Amino acid sequence: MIKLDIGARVPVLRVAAASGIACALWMLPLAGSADEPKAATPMTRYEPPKAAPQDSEVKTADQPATAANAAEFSARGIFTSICGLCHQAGGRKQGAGPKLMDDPKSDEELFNRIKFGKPGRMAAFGSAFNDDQIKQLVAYIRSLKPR
Amino acid sequence: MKRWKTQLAGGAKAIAAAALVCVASQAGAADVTSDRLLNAAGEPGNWMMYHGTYRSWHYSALDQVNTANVGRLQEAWSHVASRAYRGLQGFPLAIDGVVYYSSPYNQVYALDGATGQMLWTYKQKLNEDLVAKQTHSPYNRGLAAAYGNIYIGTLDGKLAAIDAKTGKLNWETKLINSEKLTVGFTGAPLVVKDVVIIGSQGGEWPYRGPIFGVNAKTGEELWHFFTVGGNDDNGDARNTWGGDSWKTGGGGGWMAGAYDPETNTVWWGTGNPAPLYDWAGPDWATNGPRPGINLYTTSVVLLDPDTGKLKGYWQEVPHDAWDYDSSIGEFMFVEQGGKKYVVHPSKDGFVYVYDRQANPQKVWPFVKNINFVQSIKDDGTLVGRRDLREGKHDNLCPAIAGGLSWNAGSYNPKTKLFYRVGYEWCIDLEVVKTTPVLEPMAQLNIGAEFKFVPAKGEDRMYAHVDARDPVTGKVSFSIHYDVPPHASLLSTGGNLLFVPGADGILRAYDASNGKLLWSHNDGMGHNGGIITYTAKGKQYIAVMTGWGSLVGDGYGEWFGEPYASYPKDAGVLKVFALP
Repeated sequence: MIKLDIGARVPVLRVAAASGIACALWMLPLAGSADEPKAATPMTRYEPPKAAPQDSEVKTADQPATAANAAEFSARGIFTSICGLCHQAGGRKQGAGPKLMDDPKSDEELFNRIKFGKPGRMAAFGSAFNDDQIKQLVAYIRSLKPR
Repeated sequence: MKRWKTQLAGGAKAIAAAALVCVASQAGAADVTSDRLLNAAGEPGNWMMYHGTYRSWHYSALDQVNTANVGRLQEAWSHVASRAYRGLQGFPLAIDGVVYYSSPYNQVYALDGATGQMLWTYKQKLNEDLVAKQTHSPYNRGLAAAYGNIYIGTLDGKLAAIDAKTGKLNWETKLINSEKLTVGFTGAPLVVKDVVIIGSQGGEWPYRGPIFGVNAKTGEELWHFFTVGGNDDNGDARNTWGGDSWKTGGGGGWMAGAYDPETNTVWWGTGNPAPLYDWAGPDWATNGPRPGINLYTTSVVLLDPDTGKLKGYWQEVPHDAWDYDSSIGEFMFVEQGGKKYVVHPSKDGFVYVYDRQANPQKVWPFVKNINFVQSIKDDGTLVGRRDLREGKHDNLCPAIAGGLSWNAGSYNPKTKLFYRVGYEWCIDLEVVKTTPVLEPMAQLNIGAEFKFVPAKGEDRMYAHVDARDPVTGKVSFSIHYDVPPHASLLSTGGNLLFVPGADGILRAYDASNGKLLWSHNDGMGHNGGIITYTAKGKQYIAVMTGWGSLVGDGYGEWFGEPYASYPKDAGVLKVFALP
């Protein structure tokens, strides 16, 4: 249904107060920087603490070790980092991708879907994760319970 | 009226008349020069770049179709794209009576603008193994045209130049090692003078989101600008990323931007940093996966088109912890009260109004439901950030899909109104402390689980197409949509506003007051561009159909049918005219 609202009221911005989390702090005030050499535009910017010395310009060959090799591979962590863009609420809810909790597909079908993807619908992750890691992802999917 | 250069082969006069129509109309894009692009507004019958002109108005002065006769608008012709997974998300071009458009898997078509007759088809040879691994794929947002070439960015990291007359590949240049990094191009290029500018995908990927400048004639890479940490001469920018986080910072510039010829400045929006959500919450300056303000992500950057050097910037969201990137490509150059402004709608739901040097003059909210900040001042300062620590949080607004999205709005210089779709949706989320994902092939680096919900106090998610003063944000009229459109808008000198709906209905409104004047069912949802042009003196309106962007994929869950049943692999270019 489309409702036409001619001469509408100016919408009032309804901005909720900061969330109820007790530790929500104000960010540090932005400090002006009159000495900023780069920006042609004067602007207020936060002055960050100096970081440790950086490596020289990264080449693609220097990309860090793969997640697949990381000792800390965690199915839940991977799900949150990657799968969750489409499989929402940790896989419990349909979003851009289907709900995975209680998925009627077999373990083998889930495994193959993760590894080989589905053209135009889901990426193939077989280059990112080895077979054992994909099995861990399948096990994670099988463990999903409603919240 | 532009004269066509005709090239008649041999002395076959008998077929000369027929050949004239075909060959002459193919000469169009060969004649697109820098001067024509600069003066594009003076050719309302042509649509020569993604945003229409360098001013990004998404407007045409054409008025042959107008409020008095649009009721008689009807289908003129259509073109079916093959293998159209995720639908047609791009903008066509129309040059001297020829329509060019791209479809998924980097296919390009040249069609006679009056009849739809196919002049040529091009299929890019892609590394399909790689494309199979990409999440934000296989769609394409559009083309650029100049010097006899039709330019397209490919999924596997190349810029290709296709001969506008013959549809053969003239050259291609590999810009990104996509096999290693997964990321490639989906955005349309922009031609500025003799440089083709294109930005890579970035936000969710563990790389640095470069924007490239390529010689428009030879294909030689001239420069690149790293949106994450800048280049070597932007040393300070790298220090806004704690530790090594700049190496995998995300960023990107995946929508075509704009150009200010008065200052020779390219305006481009950059994407969000990765991971998208930050478990350190309010301690982000010193703690978490990417401490610091993370330049130049979620920023507007001003680049020299010849060198790629950074001339200026404004970071719309310092240390963006909500995936509100600044990649929206429209930078609308408007004048009001004797002042010159550049108006940039941004994913966070705010519209940033800059002077020509990217100093914010006014920042106003387009949507009602925003709570990641309490407000943003007119000088661009965020007030009352809602930084989300590890743990559960309700009702973050706007949702990860944004309060405004990559589908373009329109500015109409006759009504002096700015039209766009505003989204009222939020997410419940749980921010999770994860090991940073550094493997490029894994892609994505989100850092939270989320689900879409209506804003607190609302009973549903919805959208509204508003007509607003572009500088002050004052509402002239607002059209409520229960199901949010996710296609670009078009307004015309005929006083028409076209809104292609997610429901498959293309609607034409009176641009002055929002009165519905015409509608047509195009067969499935619209998730791409819309233009108007002339061919043989007649005005046409061309719109993309096809569904399945990463935002659109959620509609089945959020809004039910027909969205849940939309085909995933279909797309048709539909073209309308008066009888």
